[in-house]
Amino acid sequence: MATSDYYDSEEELDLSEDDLEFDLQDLHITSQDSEIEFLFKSLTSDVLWISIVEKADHVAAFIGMTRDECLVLLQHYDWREDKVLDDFLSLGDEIKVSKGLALSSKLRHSLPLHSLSRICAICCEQVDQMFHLEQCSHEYCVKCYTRYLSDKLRQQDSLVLCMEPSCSISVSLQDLKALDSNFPGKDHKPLYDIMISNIAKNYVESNPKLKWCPAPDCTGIVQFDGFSTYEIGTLKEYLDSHNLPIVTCPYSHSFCFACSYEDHDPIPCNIAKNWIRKSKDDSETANWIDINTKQCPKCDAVIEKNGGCNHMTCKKCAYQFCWICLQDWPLHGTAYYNCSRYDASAIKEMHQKQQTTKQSLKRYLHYYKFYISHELSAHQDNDLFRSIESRVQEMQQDLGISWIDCQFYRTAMKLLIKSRKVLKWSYALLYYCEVNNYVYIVETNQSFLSNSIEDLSHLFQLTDPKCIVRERLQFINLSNSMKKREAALVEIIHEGLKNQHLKVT
Amino acid sequence: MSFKGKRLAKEYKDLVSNQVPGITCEATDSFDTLVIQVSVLDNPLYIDDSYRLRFIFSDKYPFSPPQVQFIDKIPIHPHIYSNGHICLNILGNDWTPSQTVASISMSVQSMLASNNLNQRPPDDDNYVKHAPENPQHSSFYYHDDTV
Ligand SMILES: [Zn+2]
Ligand SMILES: [Zn+2]
Ligand SMILES: [Zn+2]
Ligand SMILES: [Zn+2]
Ligand SMILES: [Zn+2]
Ligand SMILES: [Zn+2]
Repeated sequence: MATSDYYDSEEELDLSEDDLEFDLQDLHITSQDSEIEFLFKSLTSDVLWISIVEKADHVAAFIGMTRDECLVLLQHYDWREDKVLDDFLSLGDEIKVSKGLALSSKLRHSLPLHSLSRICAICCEQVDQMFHLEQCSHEYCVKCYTRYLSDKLRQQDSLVLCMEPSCSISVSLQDLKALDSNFPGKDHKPLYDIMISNIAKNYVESNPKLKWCPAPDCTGIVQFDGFSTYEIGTLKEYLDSHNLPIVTCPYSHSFCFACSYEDHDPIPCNIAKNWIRKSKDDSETANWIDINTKQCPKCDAVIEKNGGCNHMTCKKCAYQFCWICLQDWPLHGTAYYNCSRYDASAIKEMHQKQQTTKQSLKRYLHYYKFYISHELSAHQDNDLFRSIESRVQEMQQDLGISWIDCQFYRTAMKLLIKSRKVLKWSYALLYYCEVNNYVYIVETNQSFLSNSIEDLSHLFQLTDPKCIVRERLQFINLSNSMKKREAALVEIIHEGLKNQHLKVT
Repeated sequence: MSFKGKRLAKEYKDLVSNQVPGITCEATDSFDTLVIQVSVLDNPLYIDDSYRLRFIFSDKYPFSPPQVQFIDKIPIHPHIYSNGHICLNILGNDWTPSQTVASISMSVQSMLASNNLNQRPPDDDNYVKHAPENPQHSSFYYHDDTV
């Protein structure tokens, strides 16, 4: 790769705070002693459906029933093939009656004849088209049956019975196909498709090795495939030895397999969970921050943040300030922007009064403020990320730059998003930690990482493709130094938790 | 006439013409609510009384269940709360549009007929204190049907 030359050229790195970098050696931090991998496969819902169908066909071949019937049976037995076979051996075809696949012969004889009147008992209208399930003859009009089923399916039911209350016949995929054929238009979302996704949900929920991707509207699935070593047998053991099962769905969303929340590395699940609950519950925090706008501290103009960078310039009066602390930006800029922590005396003072609730709220808000502003910046980064392809295209077309040579831009954005996530969660962790010198070390590293992130997201405010290409080296250098600092922060936190330098209260 | 109106007109007609012992429909001039008098002939716990069961129908009826509860005098039963709310699966999760006012009334009637416990649900005090006005907003944990 053409860009790789730049990775090692130290002169190019803009590490003006290098001398402040925390010395890892002094703290006896062993680097990555034996990393145990959490093995997984990411599946799309189509691929998952293929394996569900295979399972049904497998059972079908044994007991001589259809795939549709076996999909219903398997759900009744929590997808345990052996249980289905056991019951089939003892019950024979009676299993069909007990699980809603067929009526008993007695009931079959008492079924109503097809009515000639063609009046639907639900809507009381005279209709042309009546519908009944293949296995029984309880007739209702096509419209009413469809409405009933789409209500049921929308509640994510995957085992739905005939509309007649006394009838125990299950609706099959075949029945749904027949109903769908009455609505060929595009406005009708096929019931068949909804049922398939409901069955898949039932399957995933019954199998602890499978998890849905928690990202909104994502249909990706992750399958747990064991660990890279036999020393660890269960997920619990894995978590207890300070590992996190961070996985990625087929659509590149990363999340924690243990708690199904977004990637919260480097902090443990329970802390992430407590933090999320707390930040949702606290009405104070809701009032405290108003999401995407702030007033200029000088002229009170309302300013909207349009990118992830914390360096704000008021369009009205040109005052430059820091989004987080609302202080003059030049104060931050020259030395290092001391904005990821209180200064030492403030911390000391804060800790003396820590016992009182007021202080604890203040302390919480302190960390929350950092957490939430990086969370919001992350949303904006994501928006930027979505528009990145069009910018890359501009670079390629207007400036004749090859796809591979534009990679630096994408890569830098990906790294930025990841680093911001790590930084964000590290603030949540510190809220729960007893204050000691180690916390101070973590804060110092947060501060380094925060500066790198700030620098890089500042660079991302460039929109002109020419300027972006001109700053390519800067993009590469800044993202590299950011990545190093991120790794340092993660390692310090992992070590701190492992050796209990960080005492979680 | 609306979907709901047409269907309820038919149900009302059937209720009046096909008399079921112990189930009487009070006269009504609107199809938003209906009151059914339920009496139980063969259970000493309820023999002397007639109870009033009130149905309130939303515009989504019959695709969503009516809101059903006892009013005035509330029969003592382990699935009936003292505010009149009834814990009955067909009024919630197991509702299907082919249930009718008559079929619900008969289910409630047989629920009373088969009961021999002179008591309220165990969580009655707590439930009544916090219950929403509309019983459909309660997520009942359905009591064992065999009681
Ligand atoms: Zn109909
Ligand atoms: Zn049926
Ligand atoms: Zn996903
Ligand atoms: Zn987790
Ligand atoms: Zn201003
Ligand atoms: Zn600041």
